[in-house]
Amino acid sequence: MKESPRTATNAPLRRRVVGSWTIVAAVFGLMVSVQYHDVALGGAAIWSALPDVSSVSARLAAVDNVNQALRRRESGVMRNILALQSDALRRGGATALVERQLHAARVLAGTVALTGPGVVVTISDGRMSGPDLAQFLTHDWDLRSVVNELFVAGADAVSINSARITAQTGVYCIGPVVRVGNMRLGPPFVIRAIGDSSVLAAALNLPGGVLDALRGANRGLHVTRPQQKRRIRVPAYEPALFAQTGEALP
Amino acid sequence: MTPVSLKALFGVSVTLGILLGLEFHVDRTPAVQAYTSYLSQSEALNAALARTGVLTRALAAGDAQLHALEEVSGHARVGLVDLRRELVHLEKQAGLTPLSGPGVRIRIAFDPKLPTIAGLTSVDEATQLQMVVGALQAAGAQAVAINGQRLVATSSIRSVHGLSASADPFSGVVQVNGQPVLAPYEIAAIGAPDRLAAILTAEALGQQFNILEQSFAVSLFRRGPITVPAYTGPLPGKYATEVGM
Repeated sequence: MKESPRTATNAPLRRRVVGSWTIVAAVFGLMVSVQYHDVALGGAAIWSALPDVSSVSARLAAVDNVNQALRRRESGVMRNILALQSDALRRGGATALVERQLHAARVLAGTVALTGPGVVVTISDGRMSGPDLAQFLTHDWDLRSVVNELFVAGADAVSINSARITAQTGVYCIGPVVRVGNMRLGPPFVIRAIGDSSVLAAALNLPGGVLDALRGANRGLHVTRPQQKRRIRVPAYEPALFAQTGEALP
Repeated sequence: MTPVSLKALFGVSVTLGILLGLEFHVDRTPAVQAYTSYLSQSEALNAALARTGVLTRALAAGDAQLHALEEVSGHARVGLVDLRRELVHLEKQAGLTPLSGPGVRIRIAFDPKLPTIAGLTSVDEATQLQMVVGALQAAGAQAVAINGQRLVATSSIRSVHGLSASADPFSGVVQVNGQPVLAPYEIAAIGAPDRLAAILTAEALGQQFNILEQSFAVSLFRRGPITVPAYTGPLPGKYATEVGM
């Protein structure tokens, strides 16, 4: 049967229409599956019994962004506070007296990050060369002895890694790590102390003193010489995220 | 093309689209890895959410302090009142005010009836006392004092050898906050009494002192109050500058 001239003319157009609708239908199908996964099921995968990691990751990223924004706002507020405090101290009077007391209380309470001259010493576990593993690990009493010596020598503030030492900070071994306040820390333990750097270094370098005891032949811990620095930074105390009962703190 | 063919083509196209959607959208992570990731991500999410609360509270406190300082700089008396209120709060946190509440009291005293390690003549008792304090702090003690010397962030406990002719392995004198403190030692700690006592038991601290001829008596003050005094020693801050100043 011979095709009419009209049908022959419409054939390419018809093929294009069919092709277009095929693409549209395929995209529609793709959208249906993605939409069903992401919206109708709230991110749950019905075709998989596995947990939906991506949805948790997305929430985590969102909360991290919020936290970063809060940190930026907090540091901005802190800058303004410190500027006004400096101003108050310059002007003198009752406010300056309160500000001086506040400075001492903040340093002692550990609520602010501090900078100043000081020393840095790092303690790492030794290499096990004998049967007594405990000898080659850094223990809570090792860290306590160094921190104690630094305060005997007049340190203003001390931190171990990112944990600031406060009146409530316990240094306590819990299995493979050392808990310092709320933080679980592993080696190397970087101890930073703000104070008269030459006095702090001399106290630590005392022959037969705390560092020599840690370097003793039967321990094998790696203990660096105290490095005197013109400026070091000690972080602020970070409060516990969760109460010990497991509830979020108020 | 017939209508049936068109319908079939439509159906095939939609199915193809669904299959492509599944292909590119389904997570094919192995089950063990997926569960591990899920748990670690969930834990990180919980921590991040808790941190949001901590940051929000810190920001609110900072805003209040800033407001007070702005009022002070504008010579408003209310600003100074707010600063003094903050000072009271910080002094409590720093250990500059006495604190009362439930807690425990530990008395460590020489007891010649207890056994001792043969040949042991002296022990670094400051290390022994630090061990007790560290355990109490790890169990959540809010405040600790040794023979009335309140422990603060900058406190130290130091042995003083040779100042006492004591018969027991302890010399009977240590320095706390640079001040001499004589045995018997009495450690007062404010916190949850049962939790504080439990960590002392778990660490067998009583037995550790007993083999050094030291009795180790723990009294619980469940209803309290037990009182620890304020720290009255020199204040730090000579070398430290607050970040941003």
